[in-house]
Parts: sequence; structure tokens; C-alpha cells
Amino acid sequence: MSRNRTVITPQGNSVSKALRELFQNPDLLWTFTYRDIRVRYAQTYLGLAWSLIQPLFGLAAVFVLFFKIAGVQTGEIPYLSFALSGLIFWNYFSYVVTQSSASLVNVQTMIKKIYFPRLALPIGKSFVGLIDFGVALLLLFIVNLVLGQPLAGLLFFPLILLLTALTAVGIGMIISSVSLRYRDLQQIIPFALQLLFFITPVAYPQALLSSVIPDEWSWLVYFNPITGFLELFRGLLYGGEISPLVWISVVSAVIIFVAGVLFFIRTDKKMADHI
Amino acid sequence: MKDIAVHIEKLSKQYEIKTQGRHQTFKALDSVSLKVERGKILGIIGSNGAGKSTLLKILSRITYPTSGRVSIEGRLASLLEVGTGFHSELSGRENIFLNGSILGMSRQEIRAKFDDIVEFSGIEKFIDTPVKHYSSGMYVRLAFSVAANLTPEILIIDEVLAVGDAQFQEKCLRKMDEAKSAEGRTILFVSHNMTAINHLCDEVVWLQEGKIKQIGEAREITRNYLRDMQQISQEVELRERKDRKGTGEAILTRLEWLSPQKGTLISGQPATLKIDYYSAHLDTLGNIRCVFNVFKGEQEFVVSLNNDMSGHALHQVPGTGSLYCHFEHLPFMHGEYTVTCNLFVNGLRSDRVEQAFRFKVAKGDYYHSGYQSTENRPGIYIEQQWDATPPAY
Repeated sequence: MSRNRTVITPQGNSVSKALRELFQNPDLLWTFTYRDIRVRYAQTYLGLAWSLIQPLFGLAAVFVLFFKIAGVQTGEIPYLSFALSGLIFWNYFSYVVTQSSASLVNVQTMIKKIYFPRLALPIGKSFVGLIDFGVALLLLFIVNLVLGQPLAGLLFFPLILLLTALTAVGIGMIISSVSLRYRDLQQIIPFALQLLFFITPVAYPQALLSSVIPDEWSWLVYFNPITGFLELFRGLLYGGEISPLVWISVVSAVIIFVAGVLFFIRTDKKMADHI
Repeated sequence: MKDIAVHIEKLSKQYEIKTQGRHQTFKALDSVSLKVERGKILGIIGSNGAGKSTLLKILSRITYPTSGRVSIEGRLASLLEVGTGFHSELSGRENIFLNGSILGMSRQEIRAKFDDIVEFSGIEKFIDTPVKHYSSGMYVRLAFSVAANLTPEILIIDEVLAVGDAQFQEKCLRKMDEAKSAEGRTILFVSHNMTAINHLCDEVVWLQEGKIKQIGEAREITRNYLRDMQQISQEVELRERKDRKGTGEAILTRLEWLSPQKGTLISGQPATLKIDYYSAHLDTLGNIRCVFNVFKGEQEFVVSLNNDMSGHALHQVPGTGSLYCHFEHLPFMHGEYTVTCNLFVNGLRSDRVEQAFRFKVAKGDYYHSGYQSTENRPGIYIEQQWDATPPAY
């Protein structure tokens, strides 16, 4: 009879062991995701409709602010198609960062009482966000259909979504474990995301951002991965130039994710003591 | 060769405690070594703060040791506190899956056991009701049923049986018994319920201040533990003690600590020692002198409580009555003490009882400085002033 042996030492879990445990029981990820989705819509009248209302309001807000008031120009692409193609990823990013950052603090009692692969908590949030993303993607499909904009490029969404998820979960993993000790971080997230929203070309074209930065420094904007991903997606969807510097964004995303996983596992063994 | 399921080697856990910028360390577990054979039920007992929870937390990998090593053969699941990992908005059915997954089971395994779990819990009717509408009893039943029916090879149980009705408790105990004999499951069971411990456990380990005080056959260890617990109390009847010296004119009958915290003595907090005495022949006693010598352990003198020495002469008191020794701020440090009592009447020793009383003082902030000794170190706090000014003398 083969038995799994667990050895507990002061060093805690190794990275390989932590990852193996997570994948040995993929049902845990699924269960957490299911729980969050169920809880989110429990006792709401509108239920799933909220997933539609949120991007609609967001779209209306940027339409008034950026298009009507600020007079942002998006060339041949109708503003609604342009903004929505950015918002669907931004909303997903913002949701996953917020949720995964709070994923440990919100279940402190559980962390103090039971062992389970804790990586499942922040990672699970990236699946929860998929429902909202799916609804928003459908909205973009409808808007583009109505406005006669290209649809084929929408099929590239899994690539951009994956890259966005890696970035968001990577950030979430770091913030969630640090904020067990320093709760202040939880207060900073909304501001930080708001600030990031304004310096990311979600509701305005990237040319506008580049125009305020000296040419020789323009590559810096790609260190914000979302900037690169949106350029990539819009390029694939609506045509137009995709800078080779987008690679910087892809590499940043991977680095953020790997750093997040390593950091999370390193701090994992002290989590219960810090609560 | 014995089949060892859990092997604990020199396990220690030290916590850093930060009080007002000062770092202190506290040893919750101090070099504990232990082997648990497969298929056995090990009981873990000890007073609060003895390290039971820390040990279980390390075994269930919630926290990691500071030093030492544990090796566990087989899948381990812990039922530490009922309802952990339950979500109140979800139904009983959904929570079975949620809880089971957190305990490390796959959905397939849970599905296979589902009917057993529901039947065992006895709440079939409410299985699709959100658990927030459950009574606490139902909650416990469901939570225990999940853990008891899922089949880890090693199960850790901490005090869950304390809740729930007697009938269900009985059922759980039976289930644990069955699991042990039929499935060869190893169980580590923490409880304050000595009857349950005696009934279930093959072996018992008694922890005290992070160390193993005794380990052995259940009945023997629980008996020793209970005896020890009774000796440390806030009150003691002395009437029946035969090993006393003195004229016997008046004797001490009872000692009791009174405190605003109802029985707990805390350093720096108010406390009063109430001394009941009795005289068979005299209506009044003249010139009473109480000399209560306080020892740490059984030998080492700490301080003397003496009404004469402290200038509180008691010239005339009733023949039978009570005396009180008041402390505005109890100066005893965190630890255990024994008291040897002497009662003098008119200069003659009337009664003496050695090691009459054992009491325990909990840590407290005697100086209101935010400093609390975390160590168990019997002693006395004394008044002291510090500054950079030389004295006038």
C-alpha cells in the first residue's frame, strides 16, 4: 500500500511541493470558484444581470467623460467599440486584483484552523472573474455587430485574457500575503487601481499617453502590462500597428506572476502566525 | 517492527511576542518527541496554554515549527473547529462539498460518501437549506459527519465533541471507535472530557507548559492529571488535614482566594486571601498572628504574609470567623505557589499546616507599564523607581 508521507520541518513547503499539492486536488480550485460565484449571486434580485449592468455603466461613464467632455479621438474606430475593447480586460484585471488581494484576509479563520493549498485562494478568483468577463465580451460582440466593426479578432481574447490573468493573480498573490501583516495595503488598492486606470490607455488611445512622454522614454509605458495587452488586442481586432515593444509587457506579466507564486509560497508558512 | 503513523522528533515552537516595542519569546512547545502507532487513538490533555493546540496546528500544517521534525505516513485531516470552511449562504449539500474539498478530498470521493454523510448527520430534511438557517447543533452534526465519513488515514480532533447533544456525542464516539477498529485509522484526540478520553484512547499524553509531563495508559494519566488539577485551586478545605502541629486551640479550616475576576488571580490586580478558622472552646481569641509562608515549588521560600510583621495587629477577634489579607495589587508573578500556614494565639503556635494550599497566578501588568512576563517564573514584584537623579543621601 502506497502512502503519501508528509514531512514537516521549520523550512515549510517547497515550491514544487506547494504546486504539486495544488494540482493534485484541482477540485479545490473548482469548489472555491463555485462558492464565490454562488455567494456573489445569493440573495440578489438581479443576479447575473449585475454582470451586464456594471460594464454598461462603466462604458457610459467613460463615454461621457472621455469622449463627450474631454473629446478623445479614436480615429476610424467608433469610441464605444474602442473603449469597450479596453474595459472588458480592465474590469477583469481590476476585479481579480481586488478580489485576490483580499482573498486571504477574508478567510482568516479558515487559515488559522485548516491547512489546504492556499494558492487556491488567489488563483481561484481569476476563475470567478470569468463570468463577468464573458458577459462583457458578449456585450462587445453585440456593440461591434451593431456598429459594423470587425468581429473575427475577438477570437484572440483567450490570449489577452490569459496574460491579464497572470498579471492580476501575480499582483494579488503578493498583496494578499503581505496584507495579512499590513492591512493598510487593502486601503491602498482602490486608489492604486484608480490611478492605474488613468495612466493605462483603456478609455483613450495610447498615442495620447505617448504624446506626454519624450520619445526616447516611450518604451517605459510597456512595463504596465495592460498597456501592451490592450495595444495587442486592439491591433488584432481592429487592425493597426502593434509595436514590438509589446514583448516588454508579456515578459513583465510572466515575471510578475512567477514572482507572485514564489513570494506567496515563501510567506505561506508564516501566514497563520501573522493573523 | 511497529507501524508508526506519526513520528514527532524534538518539536519546538517559539512565538515572538511584541508588547510595546519589546520583543519577547514564548515557547509554546518545547522539544516534544512522540510516536503514534497506526490504528491507535492518542489522547492529548493538559490545561489551557499547555501547547495542545500548537501541537495540533503543526501536525495539521497550519503553522510550522521553530525546530524539530514531524513525519506523517498517510493522509491527515483535521477537524479543529466545527464549521470552519463552511459558508453560511451555501446549502448543507454544497457545504459538504466545500468542506470535503478543503479537507483534501476530491469531488468524486465526496460523492461516493455523500449519502453516508447525510445519513450520519441526521439532517436529510434540511440538506438543501442554507446552513445559516441551521441551529448550532445541526451545524456541528454536519461538520462532524463530513470529517468522520471522509477517510483520512489520520484524523485530528480538537474539542468538537464539546458541542452537540449527548446523543450525537455518543454516536460520534461510536463512530470513532468503529473507525479505529475497522479501518485502522489513527486518531489524535484533544479533549477536556476525561470520560471520553478514557473511553476512547489507548494512550494519553499530558502536556504541561509545552513539554510532555507524562505519557502512558489512559486511565493512569487522566487520574494523575485530575489529581494535579485539584491541587491547584483557588480554595482549599483544611478541616480534614490530619498532618498538623500546634496546640489546636484554634485551627485553620479553609483558605480561599477572592478576586474580582472570579477565581483567577492576576498579577497586579486586586485579590484577597480569606482565612477561615475555628475554635472549639473559645469565644474570643486574643493576639492572633498569622504567618503564611509562600514557596515557589515546594522548597524555595518567596515571601511571608504576616499580619504582625506588616503592622496589622489583631488583638481581639471572634473564636470562630474569618480573617482577610488584602492586596490592592497582587505582587505575585506568573507561576505556581504553595503556602505553609501558621496560626499563633497569644504567642503560642496553635496550628500549622505544611503545604496547605497551592495556587496559581496568571500573568498581568503589575507596573502598568505594558510589560507582562510571559514566562512562568514565580517571584514577587517590588516597587521601584528609576531616573537619572542621584539620591539626597
